[in-house]
Amino acid sequence: MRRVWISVAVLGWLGTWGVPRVVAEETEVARLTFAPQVPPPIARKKPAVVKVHLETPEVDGILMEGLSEPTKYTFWTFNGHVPGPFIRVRQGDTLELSLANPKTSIMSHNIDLHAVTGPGGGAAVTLAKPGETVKARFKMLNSGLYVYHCAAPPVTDHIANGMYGLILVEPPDGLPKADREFYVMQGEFYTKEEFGKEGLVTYDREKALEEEPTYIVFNGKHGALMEEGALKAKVGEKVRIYFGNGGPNKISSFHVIGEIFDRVYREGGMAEPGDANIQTTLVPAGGAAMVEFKLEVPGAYTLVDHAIFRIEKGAVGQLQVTGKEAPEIYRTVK
Amino acid sequence: MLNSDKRIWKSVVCLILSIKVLFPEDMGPAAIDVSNYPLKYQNTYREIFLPVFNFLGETARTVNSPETSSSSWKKEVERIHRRPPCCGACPVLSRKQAKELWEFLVYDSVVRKTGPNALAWAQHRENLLERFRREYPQRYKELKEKIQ
Repeated sequence: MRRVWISVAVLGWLGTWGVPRVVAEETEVARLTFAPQVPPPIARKKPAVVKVHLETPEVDGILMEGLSEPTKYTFWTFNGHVPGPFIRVRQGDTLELSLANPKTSIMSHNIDLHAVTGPGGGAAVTLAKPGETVKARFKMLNSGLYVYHCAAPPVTDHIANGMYGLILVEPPDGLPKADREFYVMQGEFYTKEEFGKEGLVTYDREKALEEEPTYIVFNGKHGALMEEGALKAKVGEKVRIYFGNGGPNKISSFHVIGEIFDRVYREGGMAEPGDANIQTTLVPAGGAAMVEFKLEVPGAYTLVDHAIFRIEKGAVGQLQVTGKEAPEIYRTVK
Repeated sequence: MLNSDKRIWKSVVCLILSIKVLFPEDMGPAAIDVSNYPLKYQNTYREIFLPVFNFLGETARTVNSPETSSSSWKKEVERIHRRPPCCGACPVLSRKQAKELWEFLVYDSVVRKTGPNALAWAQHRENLLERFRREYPQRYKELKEKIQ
């Protein structure tokens, strides 16, 4: 009898060969950050279901500080910020996205993630009216750095009012280590009032149609990366900037004054080893690029859109680098 | 050096020096007596006003400017504050410094250009304009046409 039972057990075990094993995928909640912060690299070696919760509040915020009062604007946002949060996932992950549109919104909103394969980049299945929450799942088939934005009609107005952000899909083996990672996103604002007008300013659709922005800013606000908002790093560190361009209209000529990009992953592609020794990289509206450089000399480095008059509209930021001087690389001669 | 060469060099030097005087204000003094100003304004003058305007080469132009209104000084300071720090050599005004500079310029205008000093100020302006008209007639004419 015992031999019968042992045989049955062996046969049962053998019978499981060829039967696909259903292993439940790991599920985790994505860690979201706001610019210029970036979530930490993905440590997992296996795909997972990654839950991301986004909300679409319309927020009165500061577009530019003034001497007596700020220039204020009603932004349309993901999670209350322009740009929206940085989403970091891994190729092969399933993104489970829930989108909640507050009751107080005046518009319907949805999301088109350039990382998504399928109609509207997800927009077709994520349209939420005020008060609604929708949920969808998307498989991350391709690694890369991608823009996401609201695509509710009219998509033009939704992007122009601030509804964009970045999603990074890491390749399965991850990215090479960087000491500092920053999230910087360029965007334009079109206002009826002149540049610098204090108080509440309003969206000008005509100017947007004519592609004549009043403000061109990094991270949703004039001076966001200046003074107390300046990026910080140290000599000897490898810096990686995830740079996106929400547009809606202008191409950016991204450059860091005083640095040369050791590596540029153009237009968000992840093909190794990237391009070497690039001074200025073009980032189209609705596009992104990953740039890396090692810091050798301390001082202030200025991030600009090198279509240079745009710095007077706000397309300028600062990276403050501390550390040992390098007179063999950079010094005055008396 | 030949006399003709010397004359050429003198003209070139004069031309270079003359390029610095673009406005009547450039011909006036490049300093303000702030000894009777409140301490905070003395500090602003020394720590912000002089470094910024000396770097821009506009100290005399600012000291002798006809501007008195708060709003016009605000525009001027905002122009300087929003000057981006591109090369690393230009003085960069923080928001706090910009506000202090604006307050100083408004206070200084009230003290030097209005009230009991209004007549003396008007005379000073007239003298500057007259000197400028005599010494730079072409430029005077250009500016007059621009204003008109």
